[in-house]
Amino acid sequence: MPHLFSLPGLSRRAWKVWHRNLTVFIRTWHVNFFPPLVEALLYLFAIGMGIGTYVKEIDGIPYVNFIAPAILAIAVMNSAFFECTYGSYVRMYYQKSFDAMIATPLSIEDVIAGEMLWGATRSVIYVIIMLPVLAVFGVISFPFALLSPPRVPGRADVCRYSDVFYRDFTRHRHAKLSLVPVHHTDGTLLGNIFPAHTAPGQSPVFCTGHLTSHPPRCHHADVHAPFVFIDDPAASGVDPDGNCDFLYCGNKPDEKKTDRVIFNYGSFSAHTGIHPQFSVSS
Amino acid sequence: MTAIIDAQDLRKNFGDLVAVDGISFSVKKGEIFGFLGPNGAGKTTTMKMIACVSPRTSGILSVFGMDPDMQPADIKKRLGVVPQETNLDPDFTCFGNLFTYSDYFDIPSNSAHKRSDELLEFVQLQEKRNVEVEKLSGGMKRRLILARALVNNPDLLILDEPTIGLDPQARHLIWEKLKTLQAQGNTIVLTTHYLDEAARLCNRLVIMDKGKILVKGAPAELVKQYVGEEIVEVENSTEVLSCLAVHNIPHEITGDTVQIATGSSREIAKILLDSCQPKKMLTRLATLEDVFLKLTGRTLRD
Repeated sequence: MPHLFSLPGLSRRAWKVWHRNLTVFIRTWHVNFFPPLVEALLYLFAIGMGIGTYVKEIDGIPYVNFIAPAILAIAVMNSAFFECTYGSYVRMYYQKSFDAMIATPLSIEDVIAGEMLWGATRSVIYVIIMLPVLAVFGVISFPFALLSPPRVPGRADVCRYSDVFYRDFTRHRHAKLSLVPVHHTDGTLLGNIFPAHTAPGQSPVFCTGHLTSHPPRCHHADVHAPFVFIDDPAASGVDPDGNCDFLYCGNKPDEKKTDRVIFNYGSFSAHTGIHPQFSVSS
Repeated sequence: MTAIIDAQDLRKNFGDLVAVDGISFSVKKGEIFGFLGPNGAGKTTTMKMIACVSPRTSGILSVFGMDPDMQPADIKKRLGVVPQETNLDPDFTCFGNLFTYSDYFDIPSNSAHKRSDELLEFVQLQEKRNVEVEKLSGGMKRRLILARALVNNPDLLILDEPTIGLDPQARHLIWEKLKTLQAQGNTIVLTTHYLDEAARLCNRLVIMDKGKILVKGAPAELVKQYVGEEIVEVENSTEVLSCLAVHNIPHEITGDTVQIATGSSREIAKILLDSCQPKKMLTRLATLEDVFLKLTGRTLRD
C-alpha cells in the first residue's frame, strides 16, 4: 500500500494525458475560445464599469485599469480550478477515461500529473486569449502585460488544491468537491478589487472582524467612504484601531455612515454558512 | 508450455470483505482461459489484479514472469484489456479512440495510424471510422473496445464479459475474432456469465464462487465429471415424483421440471415412458450450465 507521503510513481508518460486533453481542446476550439472572450468583457463591464462608477480612481489609477490584472488572475485560477475539478471529474467518473488510461503503461500518478499540467496549460491559453480583449479596452500596459502568460503556471496554484482531492477521489472515491478553492478565488477577487491601503476620503473603508463571535473593526473610517469591506480578521493582520462594528457597517440605518457594505463571504462562509458570493448591500 | 499467468494463494480484501479468497491457477501460452461464476464471485477483481490496476492483498501473482506490484508498466505494455464497462473516450471518433490509445503505448504515429485502420477493418467498423463513439450501437462499442485492446499487439488479452448485452450476431462476430486471435498465438483470459460462450471458447476454465475456485478443467470434462452426459427433463408432478422414487432414480427438482442426469438417456426415458406416463419429456445433452447451477446453486445473487 503506497504511503500518503511516498514519492509518486511519475514518468514522462504524464505528457500523454496532457496531449490527449490538448487534442480534445483543439478539436472543440470553437467552444473553448468563447468563454475567455466573454469572461473578459463581462468582468470589464460588470465590475469595471459597474462598481467603477462608485470607485472612480485609486491612487490616481482609473478603477477599470486597477481591476484588469484581477480579471486575468481570476481567469487563470478559475480555468485551472475548473479544469482540474469539474473537467477531470467528468473524465474520471462519468467517462471512465482514467480507467481506460491506467490499463495502458500509464500509472494513476501519470494521469493526475497530466491533468494538472493540462490545467496549468489551459490557464495560459485563457490568458493569451484574454490579453487582446483587455488591450482593446486599453486597460493593460504593454510590454509588461506580455510577461503574464509565462507567470500563469505559478499563479494557477489552485490546481494544487485539486491534487489533495484527487487522492481522495481515486483512493477512497469520496465524490465530494470541496468549496475551499472557490472561497479562495472569491477572496482573491475582492482582494484584487480593493487596494491593500487606502487614502481617507476617496476609497473603501477596510473593516476586519468576525460576524458571529467578535464585532468587525474599521480602519481609516471615513463618513464619505463608498464601501465597507469586511474581511476575515485572521487573514488581514491589520491592527484594529477603529470602533466600527458590524451593525455600524451596514445593518443599523440610523447609524449608517457609509453607502454600501461588501462582505467577503468567501471567508465568512466558512464560519457562517453564507453562500460564497460577494454582494453589495445598502 | 510456459505459464503466462501464475497465481498461488492469491487474495484480495476490501476492508472486511474478502473478494478473492486464496485462489491458485495458471494460464498457459496460447490458450483461452475462462473465469465463470455468479455475480460477486471475484472474477472482475481477479482480472483487475492481473491487469495491474488493483494491488493484491497477499499471495503470489506473476504475469509474463513479472510481479504486477513491481513492474506494472512492463506488464501493461504487453496486455490488452477489454473492461466490463464501456469506457471509450467520448471526445473522439472511432479512429481517434484507437489513435489516442496507441499514444499511451508509445506507438509512433505512423504505425499507430496504420494499425488503427487495420483494426477498424478487423472489427468491421471501417465505415464508422470518423463517427463519434457516442453515435455507435452497443455492439459496435464493444467491437471498438476489442479493437482498442489490440492496438499494442498484446501477448495477453484480458476480457471482462466481452459480449455482455450484445445481440447474437455481435456475439458470434466477437467469438469469431477471439478464435482468430487465438490462432495467431494470443493468450486470452475472459470472464463470462454465458455458459455457452465459455463452453464454445475456453480451452480450460475455472468456476468461482464467493472468492474461491470451485472446479477447474476443460469444459467437456467438467460436464462429464460433475453432471454426466445427458439430462432427461420431465414435468414436476406427484405421479412422476413417486414413480421416480419407486424406480430409485436420483433426480433434482427445479421449479416446474424434474431433471435427471444420466449416462444413458434412452434407458431412463424408456422407464419413464413405460411406467410413469409423463405428459412431456425432453432429453438433451448436459451442458456447462448444469455444472454451474449444480455447483453454485440456484439461489439468486446480488
